[in-house]
Amino acid sequence: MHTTRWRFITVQIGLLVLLAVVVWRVVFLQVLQKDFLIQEGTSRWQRVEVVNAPRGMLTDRFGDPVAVSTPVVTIWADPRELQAEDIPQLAVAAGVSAKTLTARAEQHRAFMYVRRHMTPDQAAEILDMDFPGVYPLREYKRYYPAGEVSSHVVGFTDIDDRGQEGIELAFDQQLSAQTGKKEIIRDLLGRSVRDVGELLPAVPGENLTLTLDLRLQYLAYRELKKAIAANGGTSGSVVIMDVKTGDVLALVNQPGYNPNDRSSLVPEAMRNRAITDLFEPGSVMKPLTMALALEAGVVTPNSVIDTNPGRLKLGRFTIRDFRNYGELTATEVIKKSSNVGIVKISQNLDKEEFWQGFYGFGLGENVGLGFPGEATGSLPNPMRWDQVTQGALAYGYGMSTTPLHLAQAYATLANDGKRVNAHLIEGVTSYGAELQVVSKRTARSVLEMMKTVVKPGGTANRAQLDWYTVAGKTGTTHKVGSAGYEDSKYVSSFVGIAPADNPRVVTVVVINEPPEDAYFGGEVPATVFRGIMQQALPLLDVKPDKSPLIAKGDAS
Amino acid sequence: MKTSPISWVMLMVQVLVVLLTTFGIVSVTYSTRNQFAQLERLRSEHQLLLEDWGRLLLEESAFSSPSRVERVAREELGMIRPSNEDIVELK
Repeated sequence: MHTTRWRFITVQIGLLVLLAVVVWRVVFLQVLQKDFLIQEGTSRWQRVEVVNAPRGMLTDRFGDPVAVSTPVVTIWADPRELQAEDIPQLAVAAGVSAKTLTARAEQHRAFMYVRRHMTPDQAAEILDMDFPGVYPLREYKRYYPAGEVSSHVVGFTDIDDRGQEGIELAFDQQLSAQTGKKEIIRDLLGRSVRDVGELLPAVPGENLTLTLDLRLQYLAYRELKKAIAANGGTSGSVVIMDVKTGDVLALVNQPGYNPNDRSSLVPEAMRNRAITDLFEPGSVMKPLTMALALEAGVVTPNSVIDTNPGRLKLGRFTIRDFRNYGELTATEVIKKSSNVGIVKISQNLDKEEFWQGFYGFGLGENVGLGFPGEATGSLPNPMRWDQVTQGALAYGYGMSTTPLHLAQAYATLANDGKRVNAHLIEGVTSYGAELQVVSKRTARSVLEMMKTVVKPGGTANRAQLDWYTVAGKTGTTHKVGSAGYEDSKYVSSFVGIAPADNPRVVTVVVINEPPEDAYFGGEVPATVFRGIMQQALPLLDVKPDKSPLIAKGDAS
Repeated sequence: MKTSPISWVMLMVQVLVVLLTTFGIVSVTYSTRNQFAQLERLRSEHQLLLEDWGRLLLEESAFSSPSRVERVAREELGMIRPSNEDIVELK
């Protein structure tokens, strides 16, 4: 009797223990590990797929594309599902070596690229062969229809669609697309059968409109390239700017590169020199000095300045003119580009006012395009100016600017002295209050003075246009080498405003190390200016304001 | 204990509501999936059109590039830039 009871209890305890084990297991699976198990379960028949969206398109001011994303297909494989015996066949189809594919399959656990960025047709051929574990991924490849003509402005992206240079880098945030995710049901072989739901929508990048005019861009590029090929010179830049709005209509540099084929790209060619490279502007600064002098009332266009004997001692230095011009009017100082004349005029200027004026023209200040590597330029602090500094600044030495700075400064002058800020993206408005740097009267009389530069006897006769009046100024400076100024290396430049009487555009041409027999700003740069403007102004629908002198004389 | 007829009716209504909701969920889920599949089909169609559009855009910009236009104008059409003698100014 006693034993029976004891056995009964033992069996009962045993059964209870077993029940507890089962209950615990149920709780463990159903409660504690529920999420993990559901996730594992769905992963057998569901997969999350990445959805790419195109990067924003870049267009010129008229909507012509300069950077477009086109769909391409990347073939990838899951090394766990990929069969080793398929690799040789896959390698042939994808045009990749079998060795590379095998190495990748061993290296990666769940994802490997087979070949990136194939055209949809090419990719379809591989996918039609139905290798297990081989999948397509939609990606976008950047293509630049304007090629090398706009490459410095636009820049380029890397294979993962991230901006690396130019606008592509500067505005990467706006242009970038957001990758989305979606769930799909897959069959036994891993092929996607049906789309189930969207987890995260893919958002395409924003489109941006540049202020460039592709026609002018092309024209400027062609003329600059032609001039450098014909005359020599290590590099060069052209900037064309709308004087009213500050829109950069064209911005080109030499040497250039083709952004669609970067296999032979040299770093030299990649720089956007018009924005990143500083140089001493030299004589092209004289009209700005003159504007400040007129504004301060220390000179009038007809004041006579004695430049005898063609040189002037300034501290330890002697400033020379090309030759002794004798007595010149202020207008002739600009026309002949007399260093002595402009230094004498500037000596009467208050240095604080002088500095303030240059600063007002945007020199020594960031242009603010947000472009990578944008140079600020330097303007010495007036607290430390002496007579020599002031004299040097008067004709553009002892300071540095970029071609873009110059374009902006002259656009300001041509806009009746009202400050103009450079733009490269449409719809971006400049900050700050309107600043009248010099009065309208001063600005107009400086343009009148600059008109004489392209007339016979001026330094840039070659910049004259047949149908339009031009106000211009040349510049030629010695380059700075390891031992001070180099004797035979120059930077020559030309700034032109057209039409002079009702300014529409300002064009800056800078040639680095022009040939030694034609290094003046009135030579190569002035010719480039003429080459561009003769065609550009009619394209811009600018009404001619003068007629050419026709030899036959039968015009009424 | 006797249940009142009102309670019975309430119970039946509730059962009915539960059943309706259940079928509703099933059909909504089904149509969601269907519609999403359709959306994806349209998207891939859109994608194909986009591919075409991209190709055409590039083709257009290649054909209308200033350098090509200039070459065709000069070489095939025999056009020239008018010289100043050819231009008559209208007063």
